[in-house]
Parts: sequence; C-alpha cells; structure tokens
Amino acid sequence: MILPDPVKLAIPAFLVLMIMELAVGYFRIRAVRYELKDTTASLIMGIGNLATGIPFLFLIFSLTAWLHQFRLFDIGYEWWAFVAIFFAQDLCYYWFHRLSHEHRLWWAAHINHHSSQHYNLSTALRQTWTGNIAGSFIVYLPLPLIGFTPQLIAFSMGISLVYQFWIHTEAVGRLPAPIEWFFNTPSHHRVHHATNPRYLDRNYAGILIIWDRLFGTFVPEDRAEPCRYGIVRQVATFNPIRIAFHEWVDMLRDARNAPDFRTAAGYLLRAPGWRPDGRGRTSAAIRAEASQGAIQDDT
Amino acid sequence: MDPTEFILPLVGILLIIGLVWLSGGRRTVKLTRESVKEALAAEGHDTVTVTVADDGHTALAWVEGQNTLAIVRSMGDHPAILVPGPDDIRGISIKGDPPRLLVRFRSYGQPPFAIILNDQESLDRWRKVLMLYGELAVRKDATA
Repeated sequence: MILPDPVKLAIPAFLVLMIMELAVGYFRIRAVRYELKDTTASLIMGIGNLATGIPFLFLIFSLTAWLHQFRLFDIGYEWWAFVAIFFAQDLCYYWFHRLSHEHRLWWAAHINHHSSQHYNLSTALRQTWTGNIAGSFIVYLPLPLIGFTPQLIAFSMGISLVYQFWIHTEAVGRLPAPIEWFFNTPSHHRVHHATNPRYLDRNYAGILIIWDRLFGTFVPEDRAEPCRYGIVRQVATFNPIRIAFHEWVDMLRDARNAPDFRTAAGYLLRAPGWRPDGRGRTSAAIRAEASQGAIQDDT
Repeated sequence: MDPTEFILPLVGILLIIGLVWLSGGRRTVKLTRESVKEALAAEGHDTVTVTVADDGHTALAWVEGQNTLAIVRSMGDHPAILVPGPDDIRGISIKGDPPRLLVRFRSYGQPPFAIILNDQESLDRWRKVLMLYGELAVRKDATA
C-alpha cells in the first residue's frame, strides 16, 4: 500500500503558519519574536537535515524491511493498525526523545534543535544533521518486529513530525484543559525548550503528553516563571556548522583526553554535563542546586 | 524525483527570510550595564562588576557568590551568557593599544570573545580576575 508523505503535503501549511505567526508578532497580538540571523540559521539547519537524511533513508528503510520479515504479528492496513501505530510510534518517540536528552552521544545530535534562544515556528525546523549517525533510529526498530509495515511506520513518523511543527510557538497560550491533559501543546513544549532549572529535561512528548504523565517527566508551564529558551550554555554563534557539530567536537575531545576507557565511555554515554569528579553540571545537578537555593531562601 | 518539489520550499524559505527582514528582524540588542545585570539576574547570578564594550556587543561581568566570570555577547536580539569554569577557557590574552582582551574557549560552540578595555583602570580591575583563569599573555606595550 502506498501511503502519502505527510511532511511533503504539509510544507505549504508550514509556510502559511509561519507567515501568520510573523504577522501576530508584527502587529503585537502576542509576544512573538523572529530574528533574522536566528531564523536563517534555523532554516539552513532544516535544509541540512533533509540533505543529510537522504543517504540514510534507503539504509534505514531497508533495515526496517529486513526486520519486518521476523515480525511477531501480521499487521496490515486495517483501520486499527493506524490507531495502534499512532500510539506505538508516539511511545517510541517519547523514549527516543528522552534518551536524546539523557545521554550525551544522542544529545550531541539533538542539541542543535534546542540551540535557539527564540521559540517560534522556525525553531521547529532547526533539526539535526547527525541523528542518523548517532543511531537514534534504533528506538523505532521494535515496531517492524511487532509487525507494523515499514510504510506504516514511515507514515506515522511523518504525522508526528508534522504535528510537532505547530507546537513551537508563543502565539498560542493554554488550550482547553482536556486537550492540555492528553496532547502535547505549545504550552507543554515551551517548558521542554526552557532552560529554567525546574523545566530542564521535562515534557519529552511527541503528540501525546500522557507518556510524560505516566513516566513522571511532566511539568506544567507556570505563568509565574516565564520560559527562558535555549541551552544551559548558550551557543554563541549563528554559524550552522558550529550549531550542528559543537557538541560532537566537545564530546569527542573530552573522550580523547580521558585518562582511561571508563571515563571516556562516561563522556560519551552518561548525561550531558557529566564529569568524572562529580562536579559536572548535569540537569539533575542544576535542578538540585536550584531547589537547595529555594529552600535556603525560604528559611 | 520531480525537481519542482524543491521549488516551493526554497521559495518559501526566501519568502520567510525576506518577511523577517522587512518586519524588523535585523535588530541587535545593545548591551548596557543594566541589561547585562538584568540578564544575569534572570539566570540567578548577582553581579558586582560589569564592563560593557563601547559598541554594546560584548560585556564582562564578575558574579558575586560564585566568584566567577560571566561573558555576555549580543546574539541578535538576545544577550547570550556564558559563565565559564577555569577548564572552559583555553587562553586569555591582552594585546594592543587600547588593550584588547581576547578570550578563547575550549568549546567549539563558543567562538573567541573580544572586548576593548578602554582605560588602565578597567584593565587593572579585570587582570586580577582573569589571572584566575590561567596565564595572561600580556604585551608590555599594552600595560605600560
């Protein structure tokens, strides 16, 4: 069965939505900000993502098709297959995304998406150039083994990518409570892109926020604490090459200079910010430090 | 593959960049002592000493309590803050007249930072701090 490519179909909508968001900012309907160098860098990252993805498309699709021959179930294209892949793919996305934040090797590939200090629809296009090299697709490999066809998996991943475009905006406030409870929304995803200690490494959801609620990583947006966007150590450049590769360069340098294999492995596989002397500024350490500060302020 | 498939995204990208430019997207934040202090305070850093470059693109600050340096750059319409540890800095040098302080970092995500320290007082004030981060390559003619 040939399924449409949701991303290709959505490109005109992406453009229209960005123009609408720009207008919202320009006419000061909401505090939306676009900045020329930032937007240009994000769009170049988006093009680079497409270009670097092409060589891997065939490889990953072939691997998925090969695994599909060992499937546990024959899942075709019945209506329920679309429902099942929607939930299964979204659960895989949650874990892909969480691992991309919790382990430096994958964070090196994902960090560029968080490197903008702006939060607008162009930020959604600031995509990785190195995700396939980092092998983050392995999280999805159980799907063909369960029995979902490669075409269905590709379709559902396209749907997820399209959905996640519109949540990168400050133009939309809070949505009605049932939507906020069940779906990933602009409000939830603003928290995900924020560097405020209490928001760090939270709300990993793709389409459904229920996974964060289930696995204890959900934090609601607090109007009393506006989001500050970017990464803990802001990248001081709009150069797409530096944006794409800076964490790889830093990580490999740390590993190369490590005194032993165990430490080198720690630099690659442990949390971003980890240091062997325990003084590293990981998200957990930053959160702990901030909570301690808050407790001291209260006393 | 139909080559026209690439035309819409490319035209769209050029359109967006054009619209951002036309709608005032070229703005650059000009740093001031107040804006630097405010930006650092938002991240939980209390600053005591701030030196801002004449062009308002770069600033140095000393963070109280943490006893550390903060480097602030104008990144489009945002100040980008870096509070480096001693390990993060690859080298510091002061050269020329007026003295130009150059900080080079280990991280590939941090291009070199430069600020002109206009007077001897600023230079003396920052030299004490910067010594904490390693050897300072200082040319005699800049410090005499």
